[in-house]
Amino acid sequence: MVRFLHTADWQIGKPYHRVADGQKRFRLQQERIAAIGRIREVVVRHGASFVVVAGDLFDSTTVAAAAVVEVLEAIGELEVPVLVIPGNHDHGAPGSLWHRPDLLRQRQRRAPNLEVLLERQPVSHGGAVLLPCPLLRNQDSLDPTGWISRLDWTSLPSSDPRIVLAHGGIQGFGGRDYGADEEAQTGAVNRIDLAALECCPVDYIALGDWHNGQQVGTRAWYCGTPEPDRFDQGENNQRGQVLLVEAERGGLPRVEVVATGRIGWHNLHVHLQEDADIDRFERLVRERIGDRVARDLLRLEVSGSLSLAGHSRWNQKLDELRHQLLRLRIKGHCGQAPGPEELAALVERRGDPLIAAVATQLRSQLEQRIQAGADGADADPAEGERLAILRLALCELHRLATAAEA
Amino acid sequence: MRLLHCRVQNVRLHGDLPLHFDPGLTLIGGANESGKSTLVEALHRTLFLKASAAGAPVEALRSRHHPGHPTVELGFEAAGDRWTLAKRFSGSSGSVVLRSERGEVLSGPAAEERLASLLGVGETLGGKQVGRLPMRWAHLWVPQGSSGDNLLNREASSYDLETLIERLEANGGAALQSSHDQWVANQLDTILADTFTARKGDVRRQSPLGIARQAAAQAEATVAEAQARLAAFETASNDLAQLEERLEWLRNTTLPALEQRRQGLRQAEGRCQQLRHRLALRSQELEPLRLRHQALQERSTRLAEVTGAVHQGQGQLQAVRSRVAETSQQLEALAAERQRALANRDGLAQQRQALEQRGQLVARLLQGARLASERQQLRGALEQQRRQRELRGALQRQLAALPAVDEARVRRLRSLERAAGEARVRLESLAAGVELIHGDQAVLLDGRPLLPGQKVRLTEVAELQLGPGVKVRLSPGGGQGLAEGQGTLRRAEQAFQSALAALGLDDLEAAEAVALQRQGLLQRLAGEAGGQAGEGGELSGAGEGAATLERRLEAIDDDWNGLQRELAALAEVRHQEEERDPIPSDLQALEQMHRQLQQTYHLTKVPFRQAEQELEGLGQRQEALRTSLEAARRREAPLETEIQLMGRRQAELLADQASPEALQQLVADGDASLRAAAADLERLRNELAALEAEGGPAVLEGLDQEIARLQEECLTLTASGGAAQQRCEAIASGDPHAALEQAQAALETAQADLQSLGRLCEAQQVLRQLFSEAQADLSNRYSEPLARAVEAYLDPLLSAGGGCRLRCEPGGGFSGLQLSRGGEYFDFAALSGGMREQLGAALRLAMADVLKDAHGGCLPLVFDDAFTYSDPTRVALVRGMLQRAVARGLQVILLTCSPDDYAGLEGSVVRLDPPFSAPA
Repeated sequence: MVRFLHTADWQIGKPYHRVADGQKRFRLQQERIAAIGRIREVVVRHGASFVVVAGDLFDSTTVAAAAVVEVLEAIGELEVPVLVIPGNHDHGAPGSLWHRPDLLRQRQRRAPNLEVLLERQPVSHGGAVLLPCPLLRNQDSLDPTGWISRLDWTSLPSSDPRIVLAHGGIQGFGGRDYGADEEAQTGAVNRIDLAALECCPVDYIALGDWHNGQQVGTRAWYCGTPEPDRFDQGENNQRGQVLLVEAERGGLPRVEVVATGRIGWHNLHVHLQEDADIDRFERLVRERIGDRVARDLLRLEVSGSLSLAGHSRWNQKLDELRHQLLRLRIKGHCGQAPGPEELAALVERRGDPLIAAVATQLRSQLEQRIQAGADGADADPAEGERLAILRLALCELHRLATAAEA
Repeated sequence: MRLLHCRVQNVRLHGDLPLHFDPGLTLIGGANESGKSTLVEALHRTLFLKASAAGAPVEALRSRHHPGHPTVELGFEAAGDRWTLAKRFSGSSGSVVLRSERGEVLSGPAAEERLASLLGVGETLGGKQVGRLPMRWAHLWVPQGSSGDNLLNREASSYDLETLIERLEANGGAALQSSHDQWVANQLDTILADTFTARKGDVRRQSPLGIARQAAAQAEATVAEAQARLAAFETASNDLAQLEERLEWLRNTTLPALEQRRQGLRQAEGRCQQLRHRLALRSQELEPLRLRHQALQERSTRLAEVTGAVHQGQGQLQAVRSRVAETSQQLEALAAERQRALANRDGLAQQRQALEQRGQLVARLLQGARLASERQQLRGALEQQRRQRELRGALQRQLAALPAVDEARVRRLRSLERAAGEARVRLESLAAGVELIHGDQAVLLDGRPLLPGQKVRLTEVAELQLGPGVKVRLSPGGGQGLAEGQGTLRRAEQAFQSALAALGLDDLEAAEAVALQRQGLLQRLAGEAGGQAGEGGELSGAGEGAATLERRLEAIDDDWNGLQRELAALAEVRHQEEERDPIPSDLQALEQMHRQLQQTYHLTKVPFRQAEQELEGLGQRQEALRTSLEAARRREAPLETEIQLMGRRQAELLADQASPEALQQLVADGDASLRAAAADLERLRNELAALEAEGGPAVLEGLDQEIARLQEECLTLTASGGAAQQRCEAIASGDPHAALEQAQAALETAQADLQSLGRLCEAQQVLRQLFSEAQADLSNRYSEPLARAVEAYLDPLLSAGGGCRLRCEPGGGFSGLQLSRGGEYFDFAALSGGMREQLGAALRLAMADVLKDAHGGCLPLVFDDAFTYSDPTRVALVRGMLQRAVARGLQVILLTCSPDDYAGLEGSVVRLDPPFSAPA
């Protein structure tokens, strides 16, 4: 029986350029390396013999040298062997980072326990046989595990558990549903024929690429990323974890999930119609994030429209959140339009017949469009845009009229 | 403001012209050059030009006829008071005095200022402001020749727009845009002008929107650049992978394999040398063997040829001999055959001759029988003709003996008899009856007593005597008619009797009997003639005359005699034939025999011809066989000689050998040993060829070159790999993945900014558009009442649905004056001269109507020859318009050279007559 940690998708060197604030960006980048320290704690606590990383240890094949040094330092501190295969993000093609002189040099110096498995052939390690399926180019239409089914099994030690190490989607599986708006899916490339693999005399299949942890076969697991790196859109949000695995030749593996994540990635949706909706939103945020500072990211889908005063308050609330959070990502748009009182003040300006007439005209156009359903969720986007412009025109009129009085 | 009176002195042709104005309408008539326009101009300058003004406007007022400075005194009502204004235009020394009825007296600048205030203008004008003079009260003062101009084309101040708007607002309750409105509109204009160019509406490059657009474009370019860089990295990485793959394959697979092959080839080369040597040796050994074998083979072949020729010659000789024998036999058989055929033909010829002879005899006999038959028929025909002639003679004689009574004559007799009968009946009808019923005296009729009970019928006049004393004449039928009837009867009876007598007949019955008898005789005659024709039909020439028949008979007799002579010549033949087979004498039997003989003769023709043909064929065959026999006999001798010659040659070729078989065996043995040697040689050659094909110096050389080339490629690949590696590292050092993400983030921000700014600009444009619309809407509130007032003046002129319209531009005044005619709007300039005058006047009156309240409820309008293009109908309309104006409190002063056109208008009439001397 062998006990080891199964992890993948560390995505070290992820630039997080969509986080505008440099400090916060740095914090996010650092947190990914800090996660290795938390993995070390799991190794020590549970006495794991080695760690397998099923691809995408780095976020790209061109990660900055500083990040490479840092991660090698952290891996060196793990002390147990760390066995890595390249994934699609950090594939092992010549000229990619695994062949870079700085990495080779620093590895020797800082992480002699790191072993990069660039060849598809069995490797014996710590009483187990590893069957590595490295990705040697970014996109490969061939199944990287294909070589295993052609293996001469009699040549392997008969008592050591056999561990497949692979990265990619699997056939017949729904694929990744996260981050669909953030990166193109790799599609049908690197697809693993799991059914064929499970017919082979193997004892554990350690998979990477899908950032949510999930058991996908009697012996096959996606471990999930140890530290989430993007907003999740799925229901089954099993991230920020590693798997502690006990495997033996001929037996079923025993798998335990151990949490390692620290940063919270949240999704919220809010529809704003009146000032009370802002209060409701505040309560929702408090429930999810509480008073934590600089540890959470929020993806907020906004719709609806507020009065000018309400909108001003909303903007203030968002500013506060921006300070508190590592990132506030807003999708959609909260429109603004003068509220009933604000509008009345414009429409009933007897002394300024033009302002009153224009305000009246805008109000009636808005009402017509809203009645025609331009404000609805399934309305024509062009109509929605027109509505937004009319509201904005009303706001602008309010601003100018107020300025004229001053 | 209302004009009351004036006195014009020393102004051009006016020396001293005093005038009083009607509170309503004043009509000033006068011929051309009577000073109407001068008066209008003088009054206008008095009101609006400073008395101290100098220059052209003042000089223009000066009179050449009257000394002294132009001086005008004008009385008017304004601001609830009556004023007298006196101005003397004498340049800088000019004077002005303004007095009110209430005692206010002003002079100099104060008077001018007060005057301007009373007239509602900013100031009276100095000599240098003369250009502005025509704009003063241009809506009220219509100088000659300007009535067709569009007032609205002038500056708005010409028609006191400010007061007009003020009055319209006061009347309609509308308000102009406020200062806030104006400020906001201006702000929007400024913002949009900063963003968009005025001409094409393009976004200005330096505006925030322009900058945002550029930033977005720049961000897009950066993304593209980052993508390109990443792609370059991927390409370099792929290149490197391919290079390394190729290098590894060359070094580990291709080159070792080539080297191994080269080694093998070098070893093979040694073996080749050995083989070549052995090959040369064996080839030398083989040559003499082959020559010997060749000679033996040739001898054997020749012998076989000669033997074959001998056999062939003997065969040919044998064939020739048997052919000779066979042909001779055939000739004999043919001769016998020919004999038989000859006999056959002769027999047939005899038979045909006998048939021919009998046939000729029968033909003569047949001809004789036919002639006899024909002669008998002709004689019968002649006899019949004679009998018929006799019968017809007897019938004709009987006919001649009868009276010539035919059917027509009988009909005539009947008709005559009927006429006599009818005349008799008529006469009977005229007759009267006399009966003595009882008589006591003797009654005599025509002297004959009439007895009681006796009835007498009277057909002619009779005398009845009754007793002695009475004599009565009875005239049946009136007397006359009876006589006529008797005459007619007599004539008819005479005609009938004379007709009978002419025919020699007693009565009608006798005539009918004779007619019947004649008809019978005629029918028989006709029958005889037909019968003769019918009987003669069977005989040839039956219709012919007897003479013709006689001639034919003679000809037949001649033929008969000739034939008898021929038969006499054939008497012997006939005798023979009769002996052999009796010959019948009757015609039918002869004809049948003749036909049979002809058929039989015909039937013998085919066998006879066949016999002749057979004979001819046999002759030809006989000839051919004889020729063939000759030819065969001629070949025999040469063949025998040739065979002897060949026998000798055979013996020579065999020489020392017992038999041709022994010689053949010798050849076969040689053949086998030669084949074995050749096979050995071939094996060696193949081995060599295989070795040479595999290798050989050329292949080896090619291999050396290939290995060198691949080693060279390895070096190049290593170098290229190094370059690609460097390229990868160079690009990777900039972390292109991160750079791309950064560029994309920047692009998203730039696009969001652009969208937000674009939306704001669009909102501002929407606002500006709405402001413009609101302003236009506001302007309608001014233009509408004015247009309605114009329509009220033009009312009699406008058809149903017609009207006028105009616009009011905020700050720009009124414009766009149009009149609707027939449902379509026309610009002022597009109207006729008369219509322009009328619409222009209506507009001025409408404006004055609106403005009058600011001037104490009245304003004067001066029209100087303003309706010259208006026809008499329209002048009537103009009169109505002016009367309406007066009724609405306006003062109208109309100057015209045809005052009669305006007769009937209520008001004062003044006539100016040149040269003017005294007021009218």
